[in-house]
Amino acid sequence: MTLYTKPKQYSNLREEHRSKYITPHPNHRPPDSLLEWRFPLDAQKKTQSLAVIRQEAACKSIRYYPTFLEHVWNQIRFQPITHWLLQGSLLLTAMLLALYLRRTSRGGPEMLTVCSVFIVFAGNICLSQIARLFSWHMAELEQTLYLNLRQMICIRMLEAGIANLIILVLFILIAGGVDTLGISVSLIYMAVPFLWSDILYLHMLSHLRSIFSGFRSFALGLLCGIISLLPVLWEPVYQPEYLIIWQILAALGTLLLIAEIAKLLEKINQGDTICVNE
Amino acid sequence: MEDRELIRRIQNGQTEYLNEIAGRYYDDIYYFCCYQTGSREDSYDLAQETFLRFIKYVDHYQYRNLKGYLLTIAMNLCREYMRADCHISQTDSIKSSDSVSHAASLENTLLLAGALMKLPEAQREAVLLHHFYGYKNREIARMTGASYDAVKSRIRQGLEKLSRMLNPDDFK
Amino acid sequence: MPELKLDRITKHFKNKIAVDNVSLCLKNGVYGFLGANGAGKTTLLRMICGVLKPTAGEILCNGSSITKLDGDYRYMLGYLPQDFGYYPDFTARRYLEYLAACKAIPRELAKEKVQEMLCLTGLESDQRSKIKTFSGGMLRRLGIAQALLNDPEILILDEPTSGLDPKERIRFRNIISSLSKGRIIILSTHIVSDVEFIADEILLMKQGRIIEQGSIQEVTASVSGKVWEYLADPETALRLNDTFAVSNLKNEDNQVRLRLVSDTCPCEGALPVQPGLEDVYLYHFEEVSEHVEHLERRTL
Repeated sequence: MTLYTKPKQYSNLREEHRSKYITPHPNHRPPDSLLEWRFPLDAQKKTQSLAVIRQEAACKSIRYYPTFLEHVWNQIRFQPITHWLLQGSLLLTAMLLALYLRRTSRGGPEMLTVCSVFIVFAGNICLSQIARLFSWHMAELEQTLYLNLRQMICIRMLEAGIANLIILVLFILIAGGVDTLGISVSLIYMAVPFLWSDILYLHMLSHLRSIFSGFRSFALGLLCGIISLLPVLWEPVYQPEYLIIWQILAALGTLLLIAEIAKLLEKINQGDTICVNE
Repeated sequence: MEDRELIRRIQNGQTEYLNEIAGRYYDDIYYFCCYQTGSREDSYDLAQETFLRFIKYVDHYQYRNLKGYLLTIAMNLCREYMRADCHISQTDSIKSSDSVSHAASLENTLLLAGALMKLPEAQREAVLLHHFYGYKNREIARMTGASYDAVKSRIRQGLEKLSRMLNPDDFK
Repeated sequence: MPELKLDRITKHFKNKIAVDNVSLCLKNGVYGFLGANGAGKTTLLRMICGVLKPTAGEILCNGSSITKLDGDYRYMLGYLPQDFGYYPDFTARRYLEYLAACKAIPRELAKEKVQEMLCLTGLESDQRSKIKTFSGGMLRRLGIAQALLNDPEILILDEPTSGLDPKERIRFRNIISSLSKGRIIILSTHIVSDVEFIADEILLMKQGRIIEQGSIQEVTASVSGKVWEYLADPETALRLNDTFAVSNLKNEDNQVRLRLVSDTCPCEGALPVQPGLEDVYLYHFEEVSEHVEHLERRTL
């Protein structure tokens, strides 16, 4: 950008002004640029001023504001590799199994069961990453960080939610192709065990924190998965006349899950024993 | 180094680059304060304060037009300054502190400064930014928080008054 | 420069009062919270860190409530909990990098800072080992390193020296003294020697209240004339040790030099001496701090 544009009006103004006021000094060299409004500065005062600024700059500690995406990425970046391996291998097995069932054209209940069990597992693996935040006495420390425990949980929930959604969509694409049931119906069949096992998991997390550490939380996840197998033992549940029960369970489950999450966050916010090391 | 790069480095914690910004724009800010307040003396403090404020808020700063941002800070400081002391028109202070050696080259400056000081504050800001610093009306509107039309009329009125003061006969 | 103000802080747990109406104003400097276990130090520190919410009262930082400041407050906080948490399968370096990310330190700076902290705490050579292989002292040093990562303006250390050996304690004290300018450092401990030399102000906590507060000179002045020294034969020494609070014992030839804390002269021939912080502690808590207990066992 040019620093000193030479505006028309001003040049005119200057002309007039020169003719009027400078005439008494005919030998005075007329200023040839607008730089004339920049008279010389007092070098000493300027140096003093700059020295004060220098001092302030040296004391300044830059406050860095990470964006939300950076926070999300940081949470993903530091999850252990085993988590990703587990998640990946689970997904792979589930898909292979689903494809196998499809190949042998044993759609219907078997397919639904397989899918719902695997979604439950996937969900619990994600949730175990939330439980991990509470393990090893980390909760108390994490609660005092810039990105505190509550925000970490929200971010991990979001990650878990997205991951599960992707898995769910994959399964529905596979199952929906075979099944005579519509997509929305198979979605309900798959979502119910998933929702309820998550509720169970979160409830345990906020009430029985002491049992959470390392593999114990993983074992709990496994237990939840097994519970979700229960419908298999009683196959008629997938009959259309029971659909309404599934729907009620799904609606109830969604509400309860939201309530559980809200309760957990509120507990942390109140500084309950949940984030304090015993 | 470009302003954008300077800001990036500063926001990454290399605060030494703040000095480079101060060195680069100190004069611009100084002259602005000087014409805005009419005080040669206090403008060193005002320019300094502008950079100190910039340093204070630099973490939040999102790079757009650095000089414009600095001028906006300076403008707010000058407004505060004028309000605090009710300094009325002070060409003398511009003159007083100066050594005699510059007297000749200063003559125009003094006349101009004196005339500028007689303008209302808002018109002076607009005229300065438009004619001395070359900002477009739209940019000035954004910096001053006034509407585009208001800026336009301030510049026009300001210039009219200036011409009248510097050359009264022409307008009779 | 931060300023912390605790305004009538009270914390009730179900059946007991952990912190009782504490008001404090903390400015730059090192504050040593001294008290027996269960005096409410940890609860108070947890409230200052924002982990626990006070039942009543408010904590203000530079005039605004810390709950309102939220992230801005935590940004200037460094905290070492009493039970320091860590992920055992992380290496020391990765652990510090993780916390640096959560403390909103930009990535390039974080690398530098992590390296600096590893050097400062002498964990450089172990930075690639998993934390689960660390000894107690190394863990504590790692804890101190993480607390200092973000160059905190408010540094809160709960029992920072537990598990450190004498050499590490000296190193720790040096680190703290070198940091003490322009920030608030709060140390809680039940070991007098931890704070005796580095704290600008001592706060004695008992049953959830601050019972003494001031510089070491001020605090020790409160027990002046109540500390005595007496040279006794071992038998008398044992008897005196049972009846009076003894802050030090020293064998001299066949006799024992006792340092007693008592409101009145404990026995004929005892001479009043200049009190130290250890004596103040003993006077108020009527029990000896860890290091004296140790001395005692060795001597008798």
